[in-house]
Order: sequence, then C-alpha cells, then structure tokens
Amino acid sequence: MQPDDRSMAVGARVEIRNLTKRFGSVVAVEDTSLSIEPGQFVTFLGPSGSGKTTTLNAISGFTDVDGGEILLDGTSILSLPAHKRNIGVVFQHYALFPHMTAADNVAFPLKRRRVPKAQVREKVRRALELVHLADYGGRLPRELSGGQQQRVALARALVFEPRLLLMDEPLAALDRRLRDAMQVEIKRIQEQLGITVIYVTHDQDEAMTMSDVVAIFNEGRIAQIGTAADLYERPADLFVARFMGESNRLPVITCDEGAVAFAAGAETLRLRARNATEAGVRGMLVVRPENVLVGRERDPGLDSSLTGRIGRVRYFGAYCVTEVVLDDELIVRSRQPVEVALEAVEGDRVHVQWNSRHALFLRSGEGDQLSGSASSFLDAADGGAEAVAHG
Amino acid sequence: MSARKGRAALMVFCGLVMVLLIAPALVAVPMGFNGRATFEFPPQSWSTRWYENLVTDVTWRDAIVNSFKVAAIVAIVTTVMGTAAAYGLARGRFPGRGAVMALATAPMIIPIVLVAIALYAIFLEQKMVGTLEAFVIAHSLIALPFVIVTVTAGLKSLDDGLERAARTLGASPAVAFFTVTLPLLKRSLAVAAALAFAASFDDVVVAIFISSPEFQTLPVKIYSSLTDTVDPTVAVASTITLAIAALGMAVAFVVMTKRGVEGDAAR
Repeated sequence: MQPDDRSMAVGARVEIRNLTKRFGSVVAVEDTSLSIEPGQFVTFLGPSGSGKTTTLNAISGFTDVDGGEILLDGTSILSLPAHKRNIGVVFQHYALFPHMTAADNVAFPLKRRRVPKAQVREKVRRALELVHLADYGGRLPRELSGGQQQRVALARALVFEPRLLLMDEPLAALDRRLRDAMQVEIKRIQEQLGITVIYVTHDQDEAMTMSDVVAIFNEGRIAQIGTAADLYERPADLFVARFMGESNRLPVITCDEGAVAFAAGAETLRLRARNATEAGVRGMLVVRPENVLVGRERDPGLDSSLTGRIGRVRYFGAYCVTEVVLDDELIVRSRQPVEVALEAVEGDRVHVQWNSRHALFLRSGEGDQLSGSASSFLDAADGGAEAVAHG
Repeated sequence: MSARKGRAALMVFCGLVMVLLIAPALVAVPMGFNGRATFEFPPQSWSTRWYENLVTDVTWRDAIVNSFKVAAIVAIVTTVMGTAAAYGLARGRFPGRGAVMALATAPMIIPIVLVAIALYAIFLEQKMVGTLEAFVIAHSLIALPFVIVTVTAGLKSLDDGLERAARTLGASPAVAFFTVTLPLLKRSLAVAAALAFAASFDDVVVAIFISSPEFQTLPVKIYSSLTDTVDPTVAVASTITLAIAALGMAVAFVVMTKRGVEGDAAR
C-alpha cells in the first residue's frame, strides 16, 4: 500500500492482563501478563503445549478465557465474537478458500464489511501488489505454490487494515529457503504498514531475526520477555538458556558471590560465574559454545579452564564444533571459525577455556530434571564447595 | 505374456458377472414391445401400444407423477435436514454424539418391513394412509441416513480451519457456513440429494403398506398390476425405471470423478 496509508493502519497497543485458561484440569495459560507497544513485532516462542497458541487463540477469539483481560488500545475485546474483533490472522496452513480465486479470497473480508464494489477492486489490487502477486488474482489457490498461497493469505489478512496481525507458525509448512525469503518479506510489510504483529513460532532463528520483542513461553507462563539479545545473553532461567541457542551446561553449586564449585572428577574446581550470589545454591553454569576455546596450552587471557580429551569434531564450512569430553563423560562444545579451531585428533588431552564474563550461573528450577551423573556431580561438589569456601 | 493372459481372463470374468447382473433386468425391455397381452419372452409380435397405455392410462400416469412428486420433496427435505444434522455431528462437541449418529443412521440397518409396519400403524391411526404427506414422512425416514452419511463424509474431507479463517475475516458463524462450507459441499449435497431421491423412488415395501387405491407410487402400481392382471405395461414401466436409474448412476459417476480431482487439488 502507499506510504500515505500509514496513518490509518498504525498498529494497536495490546495488553494482556493475568490471562488464565484451563482445559479441564490442565492449565494451558497461567496468570500471564504482557504489554505490546503499537507497531511492535512480538514473537511468542516456546515448545508445543507451552501456551503460546492458546494465548493467540484467546486474542483472536477462538478460546474462551477463564480469567484475566485482553485490551486492544485500552478496550476489552473478550466480549466480542471472533468476527467482530477486526484482527488479521494468518494460519499455518493458509486456510485459503479453495473455491475462490486469489482475488476473491482477498475480497472476502471487504465484502463482509460491505465495502462498495469499486473500492473492493482497488483495495484487492493494492493488497496483491503489496505481496508481489498483482498478476495472480485470477488464479485458484490450488494453482499457486505454497509460498504464493501464504502471500495471498497475508494479503487477505491485511486488506481490511486491521491494526493487529496474528500469525500462527505461518512459515512452518514452507521449505528452508522460501522461509528465509518470506521472513524478510513479512518484516518489510510490517515495517511499511506500521502494524502490530504477534507471531507464534517454535523456531528460535525465526524469532531472533524478525522480532522487536520475544516472549518465551514455558508451561503456560512467560518465562522471559525481552529483545533477542537480552534472551540470548542474559537468559532468566535454564529453560530460556536451553531454548535460545546452544549452550554448555555444567552442574555446579555456588560457593560465594561470583563463584561456583564444579566437581571435575576427583577434584573440585572453583569457577567464576556471573549471577552467583549466596552460597550453597544448586544450578548450572551456562557457557555458549562460541565463547569456548579449545587449546593444548592454557590461554592466559581466559580465566576459566577445564581439561578433557577431544571427542567428535564436526565441520560446518564456516565453523566447526569440537566436543571435549571431561572426566566423568560430561561434554563441552566449542564452536569456532575453522581457522581458529584447534586441529586435533580424537583422544588428545586439551584445555577447554572461556572468559568468566561469558559464564552465567542459573539455579535449577523445580522442573529441571538433573541427570543421574549431574546430581552425583553436585553431591561431590557440595562437599567440595564447603572445602573451597572454608579453605 | 502370462500377465496379459491373466488380464484377459479377468476381463472375461468381469464381463460375465456384469451380464449376469444386468441381463435379467434387460429382459423387461423387449417384453414392453410385446404385440399381445402376455409376458412371453421373446415376444412373438411387436408393438408400442403398452407405451401408449402407460401415458394414457390414468392409474399409471398418476403413479408415475406421485413417485416423482414424493421423491423430489423427499430429496429436498432430507438434504436440508440431513445436512444440518451432519454439520452438528461433524463439528459439534457435545456428549452422546456417537449415540445420536447411530440413531440417525439406524433406519439403514433396521429391517425395512418393521419400519413399514410401525409407520402403517401410526398413519392408520392418524388417518394418513394413502396421502402425499405420509409418503414424504416415511420416505424421508428411509432416505435421511443416506444424506447424513454422505454429507458427514464430505464435511470430514473439508478443513475446518476454513470456517475459522472466514470468521477472523469478519464472517459470522452463519455467514461463514453459507459462503465457505456450503459451496465446498456442493458435490456432496448433489450426491446426497440423488441418493435420497433414489431411496424414495425405489421403495416398494413401505409404499405397499401406506398406499391406497387413490394414492399409489410407481413400484406399488407395478407390483399390483403384476399380481392382479397380465399387463405388459409393467415391462414398460420397468424399462423406464431402469433408464432413470442408469441415468442417475451415470450422473453420479461423473460428479464423483470430478469431485475426486478437486479433492486432490484442494489438499
């Protein structure tokens, strides 16, 4: 659409307050609150069953809620039926009407709103132009490719100028390359129209590249909300750390402020970690693979170091991932550009090392299952922690 | 080589089965052109007087008109009712859905003569025997399960996300049903209506019970004229019934094949 459309299609402010939804005895969404600024691109990220789709359905009007409030520009929409909410929705499987041409599909929401015929034609033309399908209006959905069908679905969800667009895993059915192109496309359209978007996905790359804000859902609650960088660099808990990107996790116990104890075989090592406060808390030391270096020698610039032997080395072209097996079979992964990565043979004894500003301590939640070896580690470290703290 | 032989053998076998199935019905065709009032086969002489008789004899003509009238009304009534029922059964979430489905399709498996006796008892009491209304009610009962089964199958093959999509675009549930679901069910509805028509047109058991000399359908007239008189008009009526059935089958076949193509593409 033209730039002058911007003023009319400016995004809505969305506020979710204490939203709760139960299915029988299962709590799908629990006391969730969230505030979305006009024009923001917000992604709901989380595993299936984490409550992200239920929250989306509550907004679109397909799920009755058990408690809480959803406000659009300050007005509650919960009492409105789905067809009166004026919210655009794009579905995973496009949901184009197979008996209508692309143009008729796009015209559908306008006809429901009794827009005069001449205006319908013009708006449909502009919406199809927006998604680069100006010449495809006469085609039936089955005559379009998956990517084109999703573009038509997008045009159909935007043509009535909603101020909020919901997208439920819209790219999940497309192949990798098409998905990347569509991500760019969706982002361009969102920025051009200034519309507020809530985007549901379980693909973290998609979430990181497209969103202004990412909300990570876990077991019906928002585990953390923030920019992609916030979530990646400062995860609030182990779930977020595990869900956003790769991470090495070492079972540790805090010994004092800024330090944790790690049981490496028979001996207990003291490692520095951000976020460790009081002593005696069990949890994990989280280090991203790209911050881990593998070397034959101790690197004086890196203040944290463990020893182990080289395990599997995987080559990815731009980088390679080296696994170092610590004593007691714990594995630490290092991801480094090929020219930086150590050329090593499986079984070589090496140092795995990192700067402690990249090491983050996160306490174990109730839901975090520790493996048998991890908890025996912790028990060993428990004794060690006292030794370190007192000795 | 042996594969080709096997194929030829299969074709011969299928051909034989088809002849055995169809040939007895085709015997009626030459009998309708009999020159004399007998049921001899093959006829000794030929004429078209029984065809004339069929259209000029008032009892035959009325029977034909009644049959078409009843079947047409039944087709319309059951298609509307059955579609509503199928929609509720396929999309609704309520307890006892399975029981309702079983009940709605029960007339298909209950011996038809039991249905006939029950209906006869009721219509007798209500003084409705031999009325158009009685036929419509009775035949709707017989035809409804065919409609429900056909439309339910059609609904199951439809993505229920389409109605949801329609609703997000501003269509009320009713508008979504009429603008999206119904047009996509067009072919199922056509097949359902055809089956309902045929179920009504074909019925002889219930019709014998609830007809009167004043109101008969074609199958009843055929049956009574076979048992009461020797009248080759029966053969003519059979021939015409046969032609209509064949035509119906052909139309249904064409519709179903097209539907298959569309169904694949819609996925």
